[in-house]
Amino acid sequence: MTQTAGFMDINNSGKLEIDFFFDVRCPYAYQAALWLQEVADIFGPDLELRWRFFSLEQINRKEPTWNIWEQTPGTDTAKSLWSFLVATAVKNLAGNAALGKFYQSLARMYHEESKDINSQAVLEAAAAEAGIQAETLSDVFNGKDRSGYELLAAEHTLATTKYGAFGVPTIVFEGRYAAYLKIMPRPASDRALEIFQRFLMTTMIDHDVFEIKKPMTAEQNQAVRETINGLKKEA
Amino acid sequence: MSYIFDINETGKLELDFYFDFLCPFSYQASLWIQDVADLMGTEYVDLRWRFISLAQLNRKSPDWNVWEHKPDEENTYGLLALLAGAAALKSSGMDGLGRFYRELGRLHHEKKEPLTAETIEIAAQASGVHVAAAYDGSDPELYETVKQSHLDGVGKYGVFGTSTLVFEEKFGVYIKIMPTPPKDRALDVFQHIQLLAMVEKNVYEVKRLMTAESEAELKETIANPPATVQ
Repeated sequence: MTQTAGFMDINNSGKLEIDFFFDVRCPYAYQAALWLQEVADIFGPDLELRWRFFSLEQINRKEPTWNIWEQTPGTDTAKSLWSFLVATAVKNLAGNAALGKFYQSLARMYHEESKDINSQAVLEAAAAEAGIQAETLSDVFNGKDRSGYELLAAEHTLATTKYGAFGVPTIVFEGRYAAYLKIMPRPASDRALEIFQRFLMTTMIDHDVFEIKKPMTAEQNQAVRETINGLKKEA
Repeated sequence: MSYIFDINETGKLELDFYFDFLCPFSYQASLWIQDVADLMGTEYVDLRWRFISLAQLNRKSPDWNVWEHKPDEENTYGLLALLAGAAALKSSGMDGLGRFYRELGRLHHEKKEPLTAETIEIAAQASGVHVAAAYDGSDPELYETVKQSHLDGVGKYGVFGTSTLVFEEKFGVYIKIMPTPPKDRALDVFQHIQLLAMVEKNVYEVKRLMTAESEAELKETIANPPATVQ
């Protein structure tokens, strides 16, 4: 079968490739992930949405010699490390789509259900939603499987050096055009595709546009905080 | 008759464009927004040039105000041009200010002329406005115009930088454009920004990532922006 490359398919891979860099604790990344997953579901096989790691604790480090991937997971300065380690195992076991499911489940537990994402039971429950059995993760929890440290180091370093990433979510089109996007909450379903297409145009076509940012009054900042708090469901 | 975006029900789309003559991004964005206004026509768009002082935004002390100083005093960068802009507005209205901004922007950002009284006078003569009151200090109202515009921008909309575009006296967006988009993209870029500002309340920020190479390229474009006709 011959694939016809789309207008935006500059890689000629027959698909629009999107790399989505996230840290599970970022509320904006979580909302953007829900939106982009919805868009990917609409596109179907013409779009490849790849879930990639970016550590906020690494980008916000105080010392240039400190690295998140050399820390002990679950400590005060490594609050997202367990999530990356388990996410890596999920990816190794079941691939990118399962990783996306695991991420969205764990982010929901964290942002909406106020669960402790450093608890093994919570991590296992999120993995279970992605179809991963708890016993297959034992080498991550007992420290034998080190692949998560390596993958986090590799992906975070790629994001900063190749694209200049400074935060999450960072969204990269076709391995080339990268932008940071701040959305809260996820757009309504009937606006999802239009926002996506306009965001894509700005990032891939309108190279003259470097930044679009809403100035915030004190009331607007308060409204955003309330939206973020409102994501939490009543216990 | 009112339109879906005409929330003020004035029959027009009101656009306030907050700028400082000093800012290279503002100048490129001003060329673009003028293109857009020309395409849409004055019947539908009311484009208004508004002053924001970068010297004021970047002040070191909260007690210091640029409009309480003379343009030859320390840290008042851009003030003389803003006062001249206020004089152009007073002498020749919004159109006159727009013409003056285009001339002075071209001289400063394309021809690399400093924002001195001499450059300002050349721009004023080319655009047919009178700005002498800006450098002889004879009109305290000019200071008041700059101050009010700046305080409005910061107070009503939270303006933090230039350029900032405000739709219908309500929805503000900071935009960083370099250089001005090609004419066949001008309207699409505008409609995108308008939709983000007025409709997509969920979207707060879109920012292109910069590598060392793209930063260098951007600096090069700022240093040598495409020349406008003259």
